[in-house]
Amino acid sequence: MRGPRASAVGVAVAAVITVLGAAAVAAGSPASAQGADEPGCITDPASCHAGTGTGGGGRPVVRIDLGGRVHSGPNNICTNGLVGEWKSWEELGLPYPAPDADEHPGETFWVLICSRADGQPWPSWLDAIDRNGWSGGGPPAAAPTPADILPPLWAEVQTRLHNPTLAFSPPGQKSKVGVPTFVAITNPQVPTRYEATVGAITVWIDVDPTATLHPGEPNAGGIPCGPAGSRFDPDGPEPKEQARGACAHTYRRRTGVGDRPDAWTGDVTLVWTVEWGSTVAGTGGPLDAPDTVTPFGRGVGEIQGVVVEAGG
Amino acid sequence: MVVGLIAAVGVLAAGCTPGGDDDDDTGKGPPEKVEDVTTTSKPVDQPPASDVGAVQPIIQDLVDGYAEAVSTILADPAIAGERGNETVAAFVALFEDGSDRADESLAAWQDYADEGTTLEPVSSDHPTVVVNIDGAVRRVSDDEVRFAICEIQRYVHKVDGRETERVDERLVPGTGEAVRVDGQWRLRSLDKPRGLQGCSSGTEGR
Repeated sequence: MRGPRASAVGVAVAAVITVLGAAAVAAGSPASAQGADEPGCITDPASCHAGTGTGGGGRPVVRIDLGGRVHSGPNNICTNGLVGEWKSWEELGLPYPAPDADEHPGETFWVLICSRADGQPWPSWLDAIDRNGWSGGGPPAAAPTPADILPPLWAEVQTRLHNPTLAFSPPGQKSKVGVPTFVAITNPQVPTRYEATVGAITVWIDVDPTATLHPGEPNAGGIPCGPAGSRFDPDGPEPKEQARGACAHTYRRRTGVGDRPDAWTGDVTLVWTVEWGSTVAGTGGPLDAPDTVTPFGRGVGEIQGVVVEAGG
Repeated sequence: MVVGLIAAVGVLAAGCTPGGDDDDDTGKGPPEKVEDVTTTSKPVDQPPASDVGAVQPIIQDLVDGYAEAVSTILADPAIAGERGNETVAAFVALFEDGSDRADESLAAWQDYADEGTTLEPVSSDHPTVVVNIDGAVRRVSDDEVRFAICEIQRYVHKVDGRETERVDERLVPGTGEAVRVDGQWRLRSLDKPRGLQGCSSGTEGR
């Protein structure tokens, strides 16, 4: 026989299920096709084609399987922030069965008992139930939050932010004064969205690299480069023409003369703009990623002319 | 307590110097001629995203303009095909130049017109669409911000003049991007991604 208090718990369980159902409708059912069929898309169908299948700005999306690397926090934090204690329905010693017991054979109905934030006693023990649910041998596991998913995802993404690998052209160990030196990035990294889904929550991290060539020559400023840098085309226009807007620098000072070093020490630096977000509204923000830098030493010599003696 | 629990679940629910000899001189030469150019038509530059507090209302104005245009077009989708229409021109101008985003929306609404579909306000008190920025805009660079949005929809859906659906209030969360081009903020995207859960600000918005 179910008593009046157990009925209240049963109603609460039903109410929670109803609210979850309503939330699913409001956000669009994840199981349904994306597009104008989503209720919320009717006002502007074009706003709904860019779901989590494509990244912001049309960037490629890399989906990452985090396996068992997501560890959710303890599931014993009460709604009021206090630490509660999970008890089985049986432990409560109540004279009536847990709600809907006949639909959960072999499971235990767990209740999280919480104190009042003001320290005062609850009017009745039933009011102390913060949440409840059916589960097996232990209390219901905590659903992972975006904050639980972000750390392992970010750790994984950081392993994918590489130092640029460089190739110089025209070929040769040294650059020549007055002749543009082109720098190609042979492992180009483009703006990418990495995302992981755990349970009902998807967390994504957008990474945007900005490459800059620092030639290393005194007074030479940074030169913005595209993801793949630039390579000299021997069949193309004049080198100086090719160098306009390219990832290239025209050295003006020889190395290895006077007190100058044997090579100018430069680098190509990738500055990463990183931002994360999730399918839980209001979450997200910037992440700090160290620059990835590949230094190089570049010797610079003069163009060798051929001297032809007069009358020779 | 249980009510509190339910509420909580709902919430969850971007020089090449001239080539030359080995010359250490830099920056020498005759000063460049500077001409006075008076431009009266160029609008004043809007603040960069480093001044987020100043940018926030600018972005809100953009999404307000979006919502106003969408509400107007949905009531008479046939105007979506009229590029000279004031509302349509205003809608297109909200987005960065060269963006396909506005064209895609207009094409979808032209389909509505072909189908006889309209969305009209439930009452004179509420437009069909209101869009609030959900929280603070986030700086990506001085010329780019991202933000969350909450779209509040209240409409009567009609097909060939017959009511087929009435929505008194629906909150749809989404995301947006805006970019500053030539000193002016423009929308790049306003999306309602699949599976996004919950509007933080609810119907209160700003």
